[in-house]
Amino acid sequence: MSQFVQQLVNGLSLGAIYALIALGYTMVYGILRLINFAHGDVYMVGAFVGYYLGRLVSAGAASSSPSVVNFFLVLGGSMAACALLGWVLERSAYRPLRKAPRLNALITAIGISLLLENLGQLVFGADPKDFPTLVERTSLSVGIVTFSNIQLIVIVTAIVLMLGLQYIVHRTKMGTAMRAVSFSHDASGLMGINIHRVISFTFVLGSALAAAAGILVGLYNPKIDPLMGIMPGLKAFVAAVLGGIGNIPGAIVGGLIMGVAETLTVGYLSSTYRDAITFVILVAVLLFRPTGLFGTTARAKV
Amino acid sequence: MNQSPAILEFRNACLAFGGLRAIQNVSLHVGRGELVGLIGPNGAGKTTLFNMATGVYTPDSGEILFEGNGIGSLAPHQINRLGIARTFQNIRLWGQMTVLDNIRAAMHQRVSTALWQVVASGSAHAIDEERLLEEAREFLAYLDLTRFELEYAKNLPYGEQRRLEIARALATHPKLILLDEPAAGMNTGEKVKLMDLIRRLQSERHLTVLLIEHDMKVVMGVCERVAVLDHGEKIAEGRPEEIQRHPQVIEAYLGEAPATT
Repeated sequence: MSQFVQQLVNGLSLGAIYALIALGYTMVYGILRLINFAHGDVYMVGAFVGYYLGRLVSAGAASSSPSVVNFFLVLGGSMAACALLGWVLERSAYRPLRKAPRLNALITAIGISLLLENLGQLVFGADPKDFPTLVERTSLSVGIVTFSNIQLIVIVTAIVLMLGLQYIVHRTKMGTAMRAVSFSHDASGLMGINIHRVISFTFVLGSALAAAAGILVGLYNPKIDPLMGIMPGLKAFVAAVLGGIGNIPGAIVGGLIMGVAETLTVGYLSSTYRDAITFVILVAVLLFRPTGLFGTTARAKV
Repeated sequence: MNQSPAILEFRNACLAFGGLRAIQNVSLHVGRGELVGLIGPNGAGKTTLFNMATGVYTPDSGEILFEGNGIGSLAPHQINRLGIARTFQNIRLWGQMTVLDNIRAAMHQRVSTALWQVVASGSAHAIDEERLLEEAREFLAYLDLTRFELEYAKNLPYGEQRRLEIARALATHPKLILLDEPAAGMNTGEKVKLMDLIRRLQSERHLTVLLIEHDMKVVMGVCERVAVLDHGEKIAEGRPEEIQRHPQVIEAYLGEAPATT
């Protein structure tokens, strides 16, 4: 029993990271019907920006400041950098294809993904790097469960960001416009909504969340390399499909389920199957519930 | 014909889809404050003309002027901000959003906010939202939709959805409103109310109205002037009673399969 609860806690903190990445996939899909395969690589860039920022703040004068401040500096800086990256990608790669067939944008997304991966190897070097220690790892015990303060930070940060996202989507004008555009581009444009700006904003938001996931994973599992985005990117994509792609709460639930499924597989079966479980879930979803847990069937207009 | 200064003007507008000449050399003048009807058999190009005036299509040649400025190459949202709003033949509400949010989404675009302001929303933003909410409720009250405020748009009865489309268009503060078959699917009682509403848009809100409609009672009942389109060409224009007797119009309608009401 205690092992199960323990794996559950581990799974939730891993799942929170997947969920943050999955949100970017699902938001972009919701608004453009595009699977942005470069999204996992934005998460990688987020981790690397965090790596350099982290070395800067821990080496510089800020070394005496408390680690929490460093963490927020790195998190904020990396989110801002990736927000910019997301904006640039959308503007340069996807916007010119707005009127092209959807497949063109999808292939472009794969191209951008390869570009970021190889550019990452060129710029950052191909060897894994040790993510700087921003927060000293300590263990906390509650009853039968032991978890690290890092896991706590991961979960709390993810929850705060998700609440922030909910606020933006449901309480602000830009959020209202996002929901409107995701429903219909034509009608939204004709009602005065600048759909290009809304799409840019969606990329900015999704990329910032991916950067946050990159920082959290750096804390949690401090080896980063330029290809680190591939597998989590795929898993987050499956998480988004599992939750019903285009659905924001679905992406969060899907991410958590993926995380828990993975740790339970590692805990009870074998760590060899860690990645396999992802694709077992994907196949199962596609077979039994292709619209995902929260998805609705898209009925063709007659 | 004595014409008031134009708010919307098509000058020799042409548009083709491949080999299909959808709009051929159409010139149309809509004066400020006028209530103009646009009629014609199915497929005549009426909705295409609306799409050109709202930036969905760019004319191949010719000009479209709004308040004297060319708008042919502007994007839909830019044209909307200049003051043209429309409704749709096949209702295009944001079904998954509440009635109130449908109005708010349309209104919000007039308030200029930079991306960062959305994230860093302060109390000024809250006051803004409060004011917008109040205004949105006024639009709902004007179209008698208040009791549906928190209902999802897709769950509204058909007639109410049509009214919500008009409310949403009004929420963008247009000077000119294009109504695409507003009476479609309405019963007689609803049509009478709709005609009253259209007249009120003109008299109370000082809007110019351009209206596509198949229901001749509605067209003849509210329009001051009617233009007739057939096969992408304007074949007649004039006062409703003149149009009713116009030989080419009669031919266009009788040449078509039995007219639907």
